[in-house]
Amino acid sequence: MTGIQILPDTGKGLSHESEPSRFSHFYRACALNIASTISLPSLLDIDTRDALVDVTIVNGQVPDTLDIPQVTVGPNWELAESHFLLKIPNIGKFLIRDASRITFQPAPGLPPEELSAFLTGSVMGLLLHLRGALVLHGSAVKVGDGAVILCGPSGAGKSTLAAALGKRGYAMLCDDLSPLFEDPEHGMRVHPDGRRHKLWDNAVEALDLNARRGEGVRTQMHKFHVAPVATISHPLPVKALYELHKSDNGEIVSITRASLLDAAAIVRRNAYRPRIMRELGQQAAYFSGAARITQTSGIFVLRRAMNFDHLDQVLDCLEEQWATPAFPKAGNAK
Amino acid sequence: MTPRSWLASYPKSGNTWFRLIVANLDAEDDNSLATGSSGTPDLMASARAPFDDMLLLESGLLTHDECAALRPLFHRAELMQDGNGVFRQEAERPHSTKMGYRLTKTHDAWSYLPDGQPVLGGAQAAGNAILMVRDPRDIAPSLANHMGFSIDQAIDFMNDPDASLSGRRHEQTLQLRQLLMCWSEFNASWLDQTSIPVHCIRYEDMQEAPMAAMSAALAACGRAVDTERLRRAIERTSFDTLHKLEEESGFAEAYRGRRFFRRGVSGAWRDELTRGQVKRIERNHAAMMDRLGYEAAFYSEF
Repeated sequence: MTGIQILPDTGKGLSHESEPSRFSHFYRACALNIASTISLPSLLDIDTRDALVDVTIVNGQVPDTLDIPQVTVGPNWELAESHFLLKIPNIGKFLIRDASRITFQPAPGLPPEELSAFLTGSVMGLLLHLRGALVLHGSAVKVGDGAVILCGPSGAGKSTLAAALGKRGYAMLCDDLSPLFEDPEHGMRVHPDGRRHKLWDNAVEALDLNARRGEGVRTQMHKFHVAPVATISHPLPVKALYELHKSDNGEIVSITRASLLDAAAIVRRNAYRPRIMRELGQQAAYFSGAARITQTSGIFVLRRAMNFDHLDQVLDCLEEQWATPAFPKAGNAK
Repeated sequence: MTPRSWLASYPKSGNTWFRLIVANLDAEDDNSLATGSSGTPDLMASARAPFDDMLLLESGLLTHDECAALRPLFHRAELMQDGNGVFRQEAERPHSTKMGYRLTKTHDAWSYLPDGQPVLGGAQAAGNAILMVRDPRDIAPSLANHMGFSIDQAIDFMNDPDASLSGRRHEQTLQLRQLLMCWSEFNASWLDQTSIPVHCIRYEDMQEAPMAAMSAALAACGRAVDTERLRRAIERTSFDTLHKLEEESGFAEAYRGRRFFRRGVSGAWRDELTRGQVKRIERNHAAMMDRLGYEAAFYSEF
C-alpha cells in the first residue's frame, strides 16, 4: 500500500468479531468508530455502540515478531504493508493487523490501563498512517468556520496552547494528532481526534484548569487528562496551520507567513510520524496532500517565548491575526 | 569505524564553538558564517523528536528512567539508516554523510543503566568521543547567565551529584533528561569509561592555540584536515563574530531569551567571582581541576 487514500474509511466496517460482548467501550475518534475491551480515558465519551466498527482494540497475546514476508524490522518495531508491531520494553507490545485490528499485551505485572494512552496516541497515529491518512502532529481548534492547526514536535507546547485557546472560547478539535481527509464536496478537512487535552500539572495549574482535571495519563506521571471547555464533533476545513517554535532572541511573539516553498515543507515535516511515511514510501502522496493544504490555508511560523508569563500576549497576537479581514489569505503576519 | 563521534561537554564549555568551526570547515563561501547544525537542538544526542521518530513512540508518556532505558537502542539505530532516513538492517557506512561521520553534541555524562549498558549505547553507537573541558571558575558565571541562576546557585548546581538538564517531572521539554552529575564527576565519567577512546580538549587551549587544538581533536576522530580550511573556519568563528551574530539575529540555543555568547574570555572569573566563591569551587573540584591542569588560586589554604 503506497498510495494515500484521502477519503475516510467508510467501508463495510468490521463486525464485532465473534464475541460482541467483549467490547465494553465505544468511541469515535479520527473519523473512526472504535470498539475496545478497555477504557480509553484519553478519548471523549461518544457512544458509537450501534455504529459499524472501524477499529477494534483487544487485550491479548502479541507475538514477538510479525511472521510475514516483506517485513521491515526496526529497532523496536516491525512493519509490513498494513501490519505493524511495536514493542516498548517494560510497557508492552502492540500489534496492528490490516490497519484496523489492534491487539495489545501489557508487560508482565503492568495493569492494562497503563497502556491506554499509548493506544490512543502512537498506536492510533500509526494506524492512521497505515490507512493512508494524512496525519499531522498538531492540536487543532475551531476559529470562525474553520480549523487552526498548531504543529510541532512533542514538547513544543501544542496542547498547552490549544487548552489556553479553549479557555478563550475556541472549541477543541484535536489534542495531538490532526487527521486530514479530503472529499469532493468539502475539500480537505480536519476530523476531531476525540481526545481530551493531555497536560502536565504545571500547565494545569498555570491555566487554572484544576476543576477540569481528570485521571493521570499513567499512574507514575504528572500528566493528566483535562476535559476541554468545548469540543467540536464534526470535521472542519483547514483555515491555517502554525508551526510552533521557541523564540531564540528574547522576542515574546512573532508570526511569519511561510513562502509557498516553505509552506509545503512545513506540512510534510509535521507528519505525525515522518518515519512511517518514509518507510511506507508515501512521500509523493504526502507531497500532493501538503500542496492542497497550502493552496487553501495560511501556513505560518509562530515563534514565542515558551513560558506562562507571556502566554496571554501570544494568544492576543493570534487573535489579532484571526480578526484581520480576509484571514488567512490576507491576514498580516506579525 | 563506527561513523560517529560524541562531542561531550559540561554546559558552557565551548561545545557550540567547536561545532561551528567544524560546520565552517566545509563552507565554500569565505565571507559568510555557516552555522551548520549548531543552531539545531534536534541534533543533540538527547533531542526528543528524533527519539520519538526512530522508536515510533511518544516519549512524553514515558518516565525519564524509561526513556533512558531505550536510549542505547535509539543511539545504535540512528546509525542504521540510509541517506533518506529509511531504516536498514545493516549499519550506516562511514562516508555516507557529507562529513563522513556524525559529530553529535551531548551534555550527558557517561552513565550506565541498571543492566550495565551505557546509556549512550557504547561502541556500537559511536567510534570515539571528544570531551571539551573548561575551567570551572569560568563556567560558573557563564552557567549562571545561561540558566538564570545566581553565581552561588550555579556553584551549587555544579557540585550537585544528581544534577540533570531537562530532568523535571512536571513538564516536558524538547530534550530528554540528561544526567550531568557534578562537574568533576561529569568529566571523570567520560575520561574513565573504557567503551570508546576519548580525546580531551581544553577551552583555554582552543583560545590559545586553536589550530593545534582543533587539528589534534579532529585527527582523534579520524578526520584529515586541510590546514588552510581550518584556519579560515577558525577566523570565521571568532568570538566577536559570534557575539555580533547573536546580537543581530539571536541564537537557537540561548535559554529563555538570555545571551548565549556572553564573554568567552578565559580567566574572567578573577573579576566575576568573590574570593569565597573561588574557594568553594576549588574545594569542591580540586582533584579534577588538578587532573585537567587548572591551578587552584587558594590551594595552600586547603
